[in-house]
Amino acid sequence: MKVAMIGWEFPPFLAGGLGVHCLELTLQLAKLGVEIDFYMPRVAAEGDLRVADAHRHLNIIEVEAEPIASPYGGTRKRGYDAAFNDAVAQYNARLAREFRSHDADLIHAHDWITAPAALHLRGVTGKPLVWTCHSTEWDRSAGFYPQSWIMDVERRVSREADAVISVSRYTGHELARLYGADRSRLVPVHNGVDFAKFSTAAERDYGAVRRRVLFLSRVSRQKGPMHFMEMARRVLRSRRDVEFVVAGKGEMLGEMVRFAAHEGIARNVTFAGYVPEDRLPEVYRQSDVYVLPSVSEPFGISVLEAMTSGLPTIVSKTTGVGENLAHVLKTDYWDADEMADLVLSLLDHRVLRETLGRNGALEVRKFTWAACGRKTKDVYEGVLGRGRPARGYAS
Amino acid sequence: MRLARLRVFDSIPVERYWDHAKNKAIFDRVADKCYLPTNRLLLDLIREHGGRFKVAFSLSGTFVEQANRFRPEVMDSFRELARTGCVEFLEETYYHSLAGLWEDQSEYREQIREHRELMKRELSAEPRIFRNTELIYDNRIAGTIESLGYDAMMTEGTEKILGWRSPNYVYRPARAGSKLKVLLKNYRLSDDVAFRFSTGPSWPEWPLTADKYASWLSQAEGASVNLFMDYETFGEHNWPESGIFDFLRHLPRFALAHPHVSFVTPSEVVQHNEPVGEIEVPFAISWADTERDVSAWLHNEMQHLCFNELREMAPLVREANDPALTHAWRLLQTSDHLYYCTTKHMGDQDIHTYFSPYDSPYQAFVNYQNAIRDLRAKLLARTGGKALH
Repeated sequence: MKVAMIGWEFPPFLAGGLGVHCLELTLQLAKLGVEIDFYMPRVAAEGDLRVADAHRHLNIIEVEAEPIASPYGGTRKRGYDAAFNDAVAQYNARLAREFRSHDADLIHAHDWITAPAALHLRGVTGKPLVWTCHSTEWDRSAGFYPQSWIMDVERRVSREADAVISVSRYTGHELARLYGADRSRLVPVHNGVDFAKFSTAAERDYGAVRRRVLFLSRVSRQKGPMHFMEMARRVLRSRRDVEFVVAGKGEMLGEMVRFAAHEGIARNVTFAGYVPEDRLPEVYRQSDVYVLPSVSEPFGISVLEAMTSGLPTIVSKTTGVGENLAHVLKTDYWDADEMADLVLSLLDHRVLRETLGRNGALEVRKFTWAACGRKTKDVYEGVLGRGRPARGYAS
Repeated sequence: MRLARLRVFDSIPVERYWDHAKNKAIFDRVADKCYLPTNRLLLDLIREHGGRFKVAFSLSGTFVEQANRFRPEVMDSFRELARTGCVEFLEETYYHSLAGLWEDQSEYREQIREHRELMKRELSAEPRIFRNTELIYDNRIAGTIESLGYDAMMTEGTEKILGWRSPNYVYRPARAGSKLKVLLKNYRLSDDVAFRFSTGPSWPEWPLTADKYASWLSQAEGASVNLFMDYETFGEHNWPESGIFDFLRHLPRFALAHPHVSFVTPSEVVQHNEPVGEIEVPFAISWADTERDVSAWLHNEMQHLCFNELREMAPLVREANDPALTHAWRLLQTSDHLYYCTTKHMGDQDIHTYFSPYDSPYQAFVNYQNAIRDLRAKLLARTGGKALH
């Protein structure tokens, strides 16, 4: 089986959640004997390190593109300016021209940013299209001025693809609800996590408490950063000996800093900035509680990372990964009182931290990239078995 | 045939301990789906069979308190049942608590005494037979119950204590000179009704009809087949659509059609039978979960913590000598609160989580701890002690 996969990020460049997913997925698919042509924008200038050199399990085809930051990461202001929109359009247009995987059995595209080219190529080549939704525009904007043209793209591809993979049942429901996607073609496939990298649960001493509560994520509205700050304020009203760590960067960072200063809690809030990949396990290890109050989180790989390290975790009820977890605390994203109550209890009771932390570390073992790869290949088989004819470039 | 016992009712602590509105809503629902219709049905059956159909109940103090507060007609129907002369009431701890597991049994005795006074007051009953919370039993508990003068007590007929022997006979504790008689629940036949009745085609014996079950009862050998179950079996755990009420309605008729089968109260079993053997129970057993021990309430550290904290509060409670605080302390000892904190496999949790107000055992622990901590603070304030945090 050969797959023409269209992506955007790939480690070591722009390695956000999407990049990690694509790397891990392609590694697993290659183990299952799937040949992969992977299209991505060429972001490095001539002479710089090429992504293709770093990986041998797939054939990376870089497409000429303007150097642009990923919409998924960085301190870039949210709000796609004309330059960004042009770059996306350009990438899609060039993709359509440079596509050369004529022996591929199907096309697999990731997120809205590759959808226009993917749909075009399906029409032109007649190859079936599998589309993975890692997040919707609604998620990313937290319902705050979502860009309607992006939603249009997502609507079209979620309805027209031959199969739609969502990273959680939660996101699948969103696609059906927001875009009227056909439920019979929706397949939830959970992400995995690198256990070896984050597994420090065995060394964790739950008795030695630093009273440190961690927010580690992109600091965007989607992740509920101000609800984290609200919760911090409430906790600190009860006890002053708690430290809140904000690790990450994003457009809401300034607001968080201003809140801390204004509410007089700045002394208890540490803004650690962006944490590089290799330092992540250490940060999890040094914390006592992980809180992710996302307004709408399609999956939440960081939750798995935290839990793998034995860190007791609180997530919002609108976080995809929570749908398959029992040993995690779930609250409404806006319920700062409830979150504060749970945080205080976790900091006070070793037995709660330890029971939740150890059980959680065991429970997340079911989220393997191998399972993700297998289920994705199953979707490929399903789509090929049905043998859909080319639909043409319908409007 | 022995039937039913009333499971204690949930008191749910939030910030100010008990959520009366929620308790009322739940009690109303179960009263309408179970207590009132089943009591009515039992009254009809008792009259219909002219004294040949008999039933026993165990009502906790917290159940009676809630009935009186929310639906007094439930207590009225129990009084009507009491008047038939075919209904026996058993003794248990007022608070459906685990105090029987404490090394110092004085609190346990106190809670039993409170229950004794309650039975007298509410039902003019003087129980001679004791059944502990969730049928928890060990040698020490047996000793305490015997010293309090009861004729007999009930527990679970598990192989752990029986070995090859049948639960359908009367036994006695292994302690030399013990005169206490022990009745053992026949869990296979009891669970057929309590747990398996609504299973569906995956259970080979489904649907369980009254005549089929009656024939099983008639084939049992021994002094008595002891059937104990949560009263909520009728109407709550098994909905009317499952046929549970029809089953109950027709069971006496089919059972009594077998010439050697009769319905008896626990006291009648105890009066007419002598123990055939001894049971040695150094580690507590119960009717809960597949293990039939006390792990349902005490298997993880969160549960241990709460259990120990409440137990260790006893001297403080005595010193504060405040009836309201003492009552609150005892209400917090109701076994349900610990049960909600269990992190065992999901299967056995389903029955209790049906009534659980919590999304997860961790949230149950947090809430429970909030109440315990608050109570400790109040007690310390009363006694002028230093805060322990």
